[in-house]
Amino acid sequence: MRIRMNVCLKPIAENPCGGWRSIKDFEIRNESDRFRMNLYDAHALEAALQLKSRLSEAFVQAIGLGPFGTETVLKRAVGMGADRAVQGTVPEPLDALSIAGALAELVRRYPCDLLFFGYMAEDSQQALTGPMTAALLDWPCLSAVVSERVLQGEDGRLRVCATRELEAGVLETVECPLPAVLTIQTRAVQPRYPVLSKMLRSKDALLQIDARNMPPLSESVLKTVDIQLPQASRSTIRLEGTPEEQALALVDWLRIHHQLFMEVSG
Amino acid sequence: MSVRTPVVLLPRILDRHTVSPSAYQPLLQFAARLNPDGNGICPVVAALLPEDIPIDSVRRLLPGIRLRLGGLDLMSRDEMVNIPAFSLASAWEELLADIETMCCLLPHTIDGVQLAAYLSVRMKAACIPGVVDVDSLDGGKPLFHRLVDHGNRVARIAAQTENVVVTVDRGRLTMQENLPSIPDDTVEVKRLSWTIDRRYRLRDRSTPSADTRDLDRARVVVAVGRGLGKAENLSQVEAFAATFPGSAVAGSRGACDAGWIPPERQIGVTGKSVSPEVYVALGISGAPQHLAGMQSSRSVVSINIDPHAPIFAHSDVGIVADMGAFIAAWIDRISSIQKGKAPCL
Repeated sequence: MRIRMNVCLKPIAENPCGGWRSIKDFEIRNESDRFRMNLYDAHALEAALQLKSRLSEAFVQAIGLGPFGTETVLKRAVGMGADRAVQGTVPEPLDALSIAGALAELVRRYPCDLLFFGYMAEDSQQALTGPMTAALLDWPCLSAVVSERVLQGEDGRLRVCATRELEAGVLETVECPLPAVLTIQTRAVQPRYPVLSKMLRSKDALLQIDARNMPPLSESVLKTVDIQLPQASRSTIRLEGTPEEQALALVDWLRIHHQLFMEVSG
Repeated sequence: MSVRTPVVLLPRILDRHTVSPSAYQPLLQFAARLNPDGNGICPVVAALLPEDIPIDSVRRLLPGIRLRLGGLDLMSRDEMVNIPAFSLASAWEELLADIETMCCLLPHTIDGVQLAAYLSVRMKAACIPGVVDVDSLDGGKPLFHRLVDHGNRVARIAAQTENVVVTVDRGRLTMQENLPSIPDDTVEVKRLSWTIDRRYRLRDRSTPSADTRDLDRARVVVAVGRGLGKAENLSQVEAFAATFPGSAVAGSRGACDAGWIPPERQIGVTGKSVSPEVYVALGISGAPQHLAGMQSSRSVVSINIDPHAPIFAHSDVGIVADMGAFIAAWIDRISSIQKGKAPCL
């Protein structure tokens, strides 16, 4: 059976500032020209590549949207084993619905049987783009998937059978016909490293769509009014000094607040 | 001009037995805050149920609440138990079709977010998942608060659509004084033509069977994250945990994915929730999904080499240190104290 798989990758901007405490204006900076692959998407690509290795004939295509610089993520996908990569140029980060609309259109241009997403993006942590794309395509969607296989149904049609990991470790195995959307949870099998020989051909395997040829993007339906530091849920005491001094201070704190280590005297 | 209403969705199909108030009360209280002036708008609680369940029994389960119920035809008991939550998305769409909704509220669960995404597309409404608080600009449109940027900041977000679908993170809701609610016993029942999306077939559902009662009983839980670095370092963590009376070792999702900690000992949304007297987080950054599983601990001690790790904002004691160096110093110090060689502070 020949299966076409598209894997949607979100390029995550590297933060050159080293953490929010060093950013004075508290604005999220999106102008970084260094990007890395979202961890959940790396697991989605790994899942697609493993499925490919178990099928007689399969084609894996990576799709990513982003500004200049995000092609490095797609080249890495080719280095990991994707047969082709498609980069759509979008000028700035968009909301999940706009991204889903563009991806749904790209899936119509580059058809597939299985559409993979990472369960969520590390930065925005919304878990919306996959289910929204499924809703726009009117495809079934299985979210938070930790294992999957393709099988032939009683009617001869291909189906996907996937195990989802829900709250409190509940596992749910659900089956649905293709085409379908899967959003992939992180799992024990770590995403593979790129191979040099494949990285060398990644430029040839990369198809770039410039802004003029991109599907029209819908206007954002959300407006971020401001961004603030979160309120600390506890008032933290910092224990300073060398590790030895910190250890001693923690013993003291635990004695006072929890009556731990009371049996050992100084 | 018609008045738009907040609607709380109960994603589980109702039966004639019990509905935990924790399933809808926090969302109802949150819905009441969307309209602080009152204006006579009472939030609606919407639910799906098999048609053969008497409305009176549902009324007893959910007293004093304005209800909108959708009757699911042709649904057997077995089907009712064995269906994925999102296979009822079209039924929800039909149930809500004739309500002038200002906001649909769902619990922030994996299935809740998936259903919210679907409904927002079909209802042409904005969608904001993981909402932790709400306020408004000059009493106008609600501004929903949610964590962004790896959980490091909170954004206040306004929907640009008349209706908005949100998932409410009950575990991290900002606690505020409850607004007085007006009892409303209105019940609307709508017979739905849509039932189950039969493209989905549930094969199996299982709960973890491994015995992790030691985590529930432990006085001190020592949890390790990706900061462990490699499996060889685990013995050092176990030795560290052994210095505490009544301790148990657990891990973040990252540590479990890496195979360092068994998956049944994962703390967080997709694992266990624990509330020990002391929770020690070693090399854990503090992703919101992890915090959800340990935030009710009485005290939290965090050791992390990254001074900007979000876990510090949720800790009583923060120690910026290399995990290995700190544990070595700790074990050395504890054994010295026990031998009476070193003074305590």
